[in-house]
Amino acid sequence: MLATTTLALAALLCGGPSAGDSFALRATRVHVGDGTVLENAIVLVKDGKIVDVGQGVAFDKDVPLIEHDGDLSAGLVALRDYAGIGAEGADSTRAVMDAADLRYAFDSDHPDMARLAESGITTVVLAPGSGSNVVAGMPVVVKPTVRVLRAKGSLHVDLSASGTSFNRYPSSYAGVLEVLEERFAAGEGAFGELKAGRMTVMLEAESRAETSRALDFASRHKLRGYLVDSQRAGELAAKVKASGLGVAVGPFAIGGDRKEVESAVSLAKAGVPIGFALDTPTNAPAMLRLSAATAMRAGLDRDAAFKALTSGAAALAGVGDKVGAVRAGMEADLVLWTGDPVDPTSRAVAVYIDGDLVHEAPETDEEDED
Amino acid sequence: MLSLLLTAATLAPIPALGAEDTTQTSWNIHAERVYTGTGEVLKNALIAVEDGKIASIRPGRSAPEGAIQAKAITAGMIDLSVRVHGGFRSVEQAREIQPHLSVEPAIDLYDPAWKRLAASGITTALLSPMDRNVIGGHAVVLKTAGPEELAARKVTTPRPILRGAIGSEPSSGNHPAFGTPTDFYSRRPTTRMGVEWEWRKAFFDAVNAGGDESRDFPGAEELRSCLRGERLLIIQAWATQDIRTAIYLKEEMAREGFGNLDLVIDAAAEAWREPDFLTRNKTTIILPPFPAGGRTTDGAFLAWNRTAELAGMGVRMCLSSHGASNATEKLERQGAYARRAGLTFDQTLAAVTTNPAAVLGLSDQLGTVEVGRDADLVLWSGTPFEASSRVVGVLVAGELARDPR
Repeated sequence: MLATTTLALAALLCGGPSAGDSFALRATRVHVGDGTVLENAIVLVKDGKIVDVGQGVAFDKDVPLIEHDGDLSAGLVALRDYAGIGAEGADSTRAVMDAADLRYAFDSDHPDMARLAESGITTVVLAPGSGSNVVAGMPVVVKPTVRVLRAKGSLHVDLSASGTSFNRYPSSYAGVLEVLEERFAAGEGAFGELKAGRMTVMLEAESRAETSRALDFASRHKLRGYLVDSQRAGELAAKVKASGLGVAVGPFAIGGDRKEVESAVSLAKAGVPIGFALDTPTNAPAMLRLSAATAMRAGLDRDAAFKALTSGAAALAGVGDKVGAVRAGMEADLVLWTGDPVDPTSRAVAVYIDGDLVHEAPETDEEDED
Repeated sequence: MLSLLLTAATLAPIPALGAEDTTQTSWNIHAERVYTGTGEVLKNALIAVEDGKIASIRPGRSAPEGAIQAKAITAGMIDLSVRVHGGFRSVEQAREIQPHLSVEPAIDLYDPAWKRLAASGITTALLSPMDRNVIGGHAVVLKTAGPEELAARKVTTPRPILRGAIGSEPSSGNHPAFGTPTDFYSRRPTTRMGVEWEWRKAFFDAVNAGGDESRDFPGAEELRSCLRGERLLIIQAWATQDIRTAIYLKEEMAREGFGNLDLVIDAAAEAWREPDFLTRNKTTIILPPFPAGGRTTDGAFLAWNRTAELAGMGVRMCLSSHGASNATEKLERQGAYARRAGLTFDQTLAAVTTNPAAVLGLSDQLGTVEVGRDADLVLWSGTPFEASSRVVGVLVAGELARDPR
C-alpha cells in the first residue's frame, strides 16, 4: 500500500493539483488531535486548509484521492528551536532587547529547515539564544521551509542566571528583577502588550528557586505563556498549575537526567499544559519524538504525549486555532506516518504544509534500512 | 493522665490541607537538662510543642511514652552571618551603593546547604548579599527548615536590616580605568580609602537630597531611614582599621546631626584590639569562626584569649560560622571554641541564641526556651558546647529537622 501511496504522491508532484486546488487523503488511522482516532477516514484539503474530516466525506470525482496505508496526523510542533539561526539569535550588547524580532533571523531556505520538515515537524518556535540578556527578543513561530506563522506574539524574559552578566548591569538576580519591574512600570513596547494580555511570555528559569521566582513574577504581572529550561518544574507542579503557565519540556537527551523526565510527567499529571523544546541544530529533529517516547517510558500516557507534540504545543505557541489538529478550518499541515506518530520507529513518509507537499520519503528508504 | 494526653500521637494535628501539609509540628520532648537561656536550668523537663510553638515546659517529670528524649536542650542557634545565596548574583555590582535592593531574589531554598545548617543546630539565619559592594542591600531572616517557599520561611523583623562592608572586599575586582572603561569594574573604589569615601558620600548625598526629588537616587530613602534608626545597619569589618572606620562613620553622622546609625559589626575579628571603640557606642559585634593560628580574612588576627575580656567589658557579641561549610567551623563548634577561649557557659549560650535574637529585634519570639516562643530547639548528646557533646536533634518551628531517634 505504501507503494500505491508514493505513486499517488508522485502523480501529485508531476502536474497534479497544487495549493489552491483540492485533494483528499485517506489513511488507515487519522489522529484528529483531540484523542480520537478515525479508522479509514478521509481528510479533504482545499486552498491549503482542511475542509472536512471523516469516514464518509464526499468529494468531487475530479478531486485526486491519495491512499495511505498508515497513520495521518497534524504536523508536530516544537516549542523552542534555533534552526538556521546560527549566531544571529541574540544581541547581548544591551540587557533588554525587547524590540528584537526573531522574524529577521528566520531563513526558510536553510538546510536546518528542510531537516525539520522531513521529520514531520511543521511548526517551530524560533527563540533567541541565551546571550546574557534579561529580555533577548520576540520569538517567532514559523513553518519550516515555508513561512512565518506568527510574529510579535511573545516575548522572551529570562529570570535565570543566564539573564545576568558578569560585567554589565544587571549582574544579579535583584538587578534582573529591578530592570524588569522598571520596564513593566513604564509599560512601553512589548511590555505594554504583555500587560494588556496581547502578548505571551517565553519565560526562562532553570533551577527550582529560579522557577519559583519566575512563577511569582508571572503571577504578579498576570503573564500567560510558558516556561523554558525549567528542568525540575514538575517538583513545583501545583504552583505551576496555579500560575496558568505551560512548560516546554525536554529535549531529553539519551542518558540524561531522569529527574528532568519525571518532572515533565508530574507536570502533565497535574494538568499543566506541556510541549517539547527541540533545540536544533544542537539536536537532531528526531529528538522531538524521542523525547515524547522517553516521557512515555517514564509514565506519560500516549494521548498526553501526542497532545504535547501537536495541539497542546500549538496552543502554548499561540497558534492553536491554526495548526496542531486535523479539523475542518485548520491549516493543512499534515504528516503521513508509517505507524503511530508517537512511536519512534514510525517514519514520516509525506509531509504537507499549507496543503503543499514539502517532503516525500524516497521509495528506497525501507530497503536501505535492511 | 495529662501527660498521656499530651503524647505526640494525640497531639498530632489533623491534616486538613492535603498530603504536602502534614508535617508534624506538635511533639513531646523530654530532657535531663533544659538550658532555657533566661539563666535557668530545668531538670528532667518535659516540653510540649504545639503547632510550632512551645506550649508548656514542666520540670521534674519523667519521659512519657513516645516522647523524644535528649540529654540537654537549648534554644535553636541563630547565625547572623550565613551565606547560602547565589554568590556573585546575590549582589548587584553595577553600582557600589544599592540600599534599595535585597538579597531575597538570590535565595535558593532548594540549596542542600539549608538541610546541613538545620542539622547543625542553626534554626534561624540572617542571609546577606555577598560583600562585594560597599552597600550591598538588605539582608533577610529565614528559618533554616520548612517549605521551600519564602513566604513560609521568612521571619519578619521589626526593622529592615541593611548590609554593607568596609575593608578590602568591596573594592576587590575593581580596577582603575585607563582610557575608555571596558566594564563596570573600571570604577571607584579600588582601595579601602575609596570604600570609606563611598560610605560617607552615600549618607551625605542621601541627607542633602532629602526632599529634593531631582537629587534623590535609588536607595537614598533607605539610607535616610537608617539615619533615623528605622533600619539596622550591619557592616562587615574584619581588621581594626576597618572597625574604626565603621565607628567613625557612626560618630560622624551623629556629630553632623544627620542621625544615629544603629550599627552592628560583622566579622569583627580584631574587635579585641580596641574595645573602647565598641563600648563607648554600645556596638554589637558578630565574631567570625575562631581560626586555627588566629589569622583570618583581610589580614585580621583573632586572638582567642582576648574574647573573654571583650565579653567581660560588656560588649554584646554573637558567634557565627560566616558561611563556613566545613565541620570544624560550624556554629555548634564555635560554641565549644568560645568556651575554650574563656567565655562562660551563659555568655556562650547567649552569643548563639539571645544576643542574635536581640540584634534582630526578635527577643520575644526567638532565643530562649519559654512558653509561647517558636519551637526552635537543639537537642544535645551531653552538656552543650562541651568538646565531646554534639547536636543530635533539631526542631525548627516545631518541625523535626533532625530526628534524634
